[in-house]
Amino acid sequence: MNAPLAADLLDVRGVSKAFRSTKAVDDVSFAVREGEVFGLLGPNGAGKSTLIRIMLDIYRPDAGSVLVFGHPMERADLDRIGYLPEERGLYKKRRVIQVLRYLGQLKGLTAQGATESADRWLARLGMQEYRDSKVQTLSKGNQQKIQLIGTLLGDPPLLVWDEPFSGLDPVNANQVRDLLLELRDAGTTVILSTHLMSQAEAICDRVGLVHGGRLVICGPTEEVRVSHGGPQATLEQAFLTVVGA
Amino acid sequence: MRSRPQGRRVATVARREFVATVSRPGYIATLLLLPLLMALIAVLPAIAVALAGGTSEIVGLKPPGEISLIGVVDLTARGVVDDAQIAWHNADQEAADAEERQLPGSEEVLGDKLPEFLKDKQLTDRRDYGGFDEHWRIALQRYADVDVAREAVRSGEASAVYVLDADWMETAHVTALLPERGAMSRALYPGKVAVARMVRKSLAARFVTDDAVLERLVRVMETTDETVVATEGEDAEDDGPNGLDEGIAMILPVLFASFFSLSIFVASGYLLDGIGEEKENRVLEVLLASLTPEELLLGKMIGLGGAGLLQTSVLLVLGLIPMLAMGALSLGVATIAGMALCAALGYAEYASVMAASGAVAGNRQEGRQISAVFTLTASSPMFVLPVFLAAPDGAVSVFLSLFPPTAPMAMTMRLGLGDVPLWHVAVAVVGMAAAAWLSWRVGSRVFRVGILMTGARPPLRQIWAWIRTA
Repeated sequence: MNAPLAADLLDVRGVSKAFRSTKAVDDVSFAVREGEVFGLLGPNGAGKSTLIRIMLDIYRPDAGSVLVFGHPMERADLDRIGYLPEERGLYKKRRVIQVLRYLGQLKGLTAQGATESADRWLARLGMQEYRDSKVQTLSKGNQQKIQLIGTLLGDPPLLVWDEPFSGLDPVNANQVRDLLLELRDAGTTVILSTHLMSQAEAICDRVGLVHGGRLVICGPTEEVRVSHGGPQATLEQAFLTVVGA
Repeated sequence: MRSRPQGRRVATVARREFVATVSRPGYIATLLLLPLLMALIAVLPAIAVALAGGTSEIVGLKPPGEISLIGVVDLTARGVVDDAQIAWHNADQEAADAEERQLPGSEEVLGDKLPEFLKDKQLTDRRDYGGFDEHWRIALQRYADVDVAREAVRSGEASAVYVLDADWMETAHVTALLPERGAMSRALYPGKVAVARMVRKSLAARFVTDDAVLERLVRVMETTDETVVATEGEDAEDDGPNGLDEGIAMILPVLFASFFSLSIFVASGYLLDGIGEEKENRVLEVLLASLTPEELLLGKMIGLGGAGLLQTSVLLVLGLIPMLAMGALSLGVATIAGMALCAALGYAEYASVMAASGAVAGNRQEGRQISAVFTLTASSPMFVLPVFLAAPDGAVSVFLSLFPPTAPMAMTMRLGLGDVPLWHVAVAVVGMAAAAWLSWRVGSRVFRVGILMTGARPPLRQIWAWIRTA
C-alpha cells in the first residue's frame, strides 16, 4: 500500500466498515495523488461504493481515518468535491436548469453563478437544447449526462464518479471518457469507480482492486497489469489471477 | 466531519422544499378546496332551506306572517277544552301579530295560590311561548270529531290536529293527526305548544280567579335576559341573550386549538413524504455530496414546516374569522401566541423523528406506518377530550399538558379552555424544547445512516446502534 505523500489529495488509512454481520470494507488503505485518474475497481458488491461513502464522510468508518486535501474532512471540502453516486436520480418533475441551479447553489455558488456554470457545461456536452426541459422527458443517457454536469458545477478540483458509464450508449460513453481525460489534463483529480476493467485500463493512471471488502492490489495501471497478469494480459485477467477465479 | 449546519445551505434547501411543496397541484388544491368545502358546509343548511322553498316547508307550517291553523278535538268526558280560551289564544296571537309584540320578560312565583295539580315543571318551561315567536303564527280551532279533523288535515286546512283522547285526564295521552310522518317532532312544535297552553289555561280558568295570576300561569317566561355574573378573579362579560350555548362556547376554543396542533401533522406529513419520495427517486445521495445530513434535515424541516404552517394558517384564519364574528371566541393575543408556540415546539419535537421514520422506511407506505406511532402519541389528548372539557385543571389534563410527547396538543387545548397557571406553561415549554433537542439528536443520527439504506427496514437494535455511534 502507498505511504501518504505530500501531494496526496486523498489518503485512506486502515478503514473498516461493517453492516450488521457483513464486513463491507475491511482495513483498506490507499492514497490518490493530485491530478491523476485513480481507478477503484472491483466486481459488483465488492465494497467500492461503501468505501467512497466513507471517503466523503457520508458513512462514518468503524475503524481507520480519511484525509482529504491533507486534513480530515471539513464542511468546506464538500464544495471542492464533485460526486456522482452509483445510486443516483434527479427531481424528475423539475426543469434541467432548475435542478442544476439548485445543485450549484448547494455547492456554494450564487444563483447566477450556478446558472452560468450550468449553461457552460450544458454547452460543452451538447445538451443546451434540454436546458428548459423537464428531467422526466429526457432519455436515461441524457439524464445521466445532466447528473455528470451536476458534479462539475463550480469546477471542483476532485471528482468522485461511481460507475459513470453505466447506462450510456457507446457514443455517449466515449464523450464522457474524452471529457474525463480533458479534466485530468486540466489538473482535476478523478476517482473513478467501475466494474468495467477495459474502460479503467484505458483511462486510469493508477488502480486499486477491491474484492470482498479488501484492497487486493494497488498501483500504476500498467504495473498492476504486467506484474499480476503478464505482458500480454489484460487488467481483467490480472485481477482474476489475483482473486484466484 | 462534525460541523454546525451552514445557514446558507440550510436556507437553500428550505427555500427549495417550500417552493416545491407549495407549487404542487395537490397542495394548491387543498389550500383552495378545503376552505371552499368549509364554506359549503357552513351554508349547506341555508341552501337546503332555500331549495325547499323557505323555512315554512321545513317545519310544516305556513310562511312567517301567515297564520297556520292547528285543530283540537276534545274527546274527554269532562270537556277540558274551553272555547273561550281558544278565542283568547287567537286574540292573543292577532294582537301579537299586529303589534309585533315583544313580550316583557318576567318571572313570578305563584306559591300557594297555584293549585297542586298545576305545580308542573312545564309551567316554568322556557319554551312556553304559546306558539308565538318571531316566525310562527298559530290559530287554534276546535273540530267536533276525529273524522272532520282528519278531513281538515287532508285538505290542508289545518296544519295538524291534536286529539285529547277520552282517557286524557288519566293518561295525558294525545293523538296528533299530521300531514306527514315525523312532522310533529321536527315541525309542528309551535302548534303543540299553543294547544298545550290553551288547554292549561282552560283548566286553570276553572280554579284561578285572579287574572294576573292566570296570565302568569300561562306566560311564565316569555323572554329571558341572560347576565353572566363574574366570580372572584374573573372579568364579567355579558354574552347577552344571543350568546352561544355554553357547550358550544366551550368546545370552540378546543377546536381552534386543534387547528394549531394540526400544523404539526400536516408539516410532518410533508416531511415524511418528501424524504420517501427522494429516497425512491435516489436524489438523496446526490444531495449528500454537497450537504451534511444535518443540513439537509434542518433545511427540510424549515421549508416543509413553512409549507405546513402556511396551509394551516389559511385554514386557521378562515376558521377564526367566523368564530370571532359570531362572538364565539374570546381568546386573547397572549393565548393565541401561546398556542402557536406550542405548535412550533411540537413540530420541532416530532419533525426529526418523523424524518428518521422516513429515512429507515423502505418506501413511503412503510414510512407512514412507522410514523403512525408518533402521530397517535401526539394526538392522544384528543382521545380524552371529554376529560379536558370536564376538568381542564384535573390531574389527567395537567399531566398530559406537561408530559413533552403529549404537551403540544394538550397544552394548546388547555390554553383554549381557560386560564392556565404560568408555571404550567413554563414547564411545558421547557419540556417540549428539551424533547425537541433530544429528538433532533436521535432523529438526525438515524437519518444520517438510514437515509441511504435500501431494502428491509433495520431492526430496532440496529437503529439503537446508529443512535449511539453515528
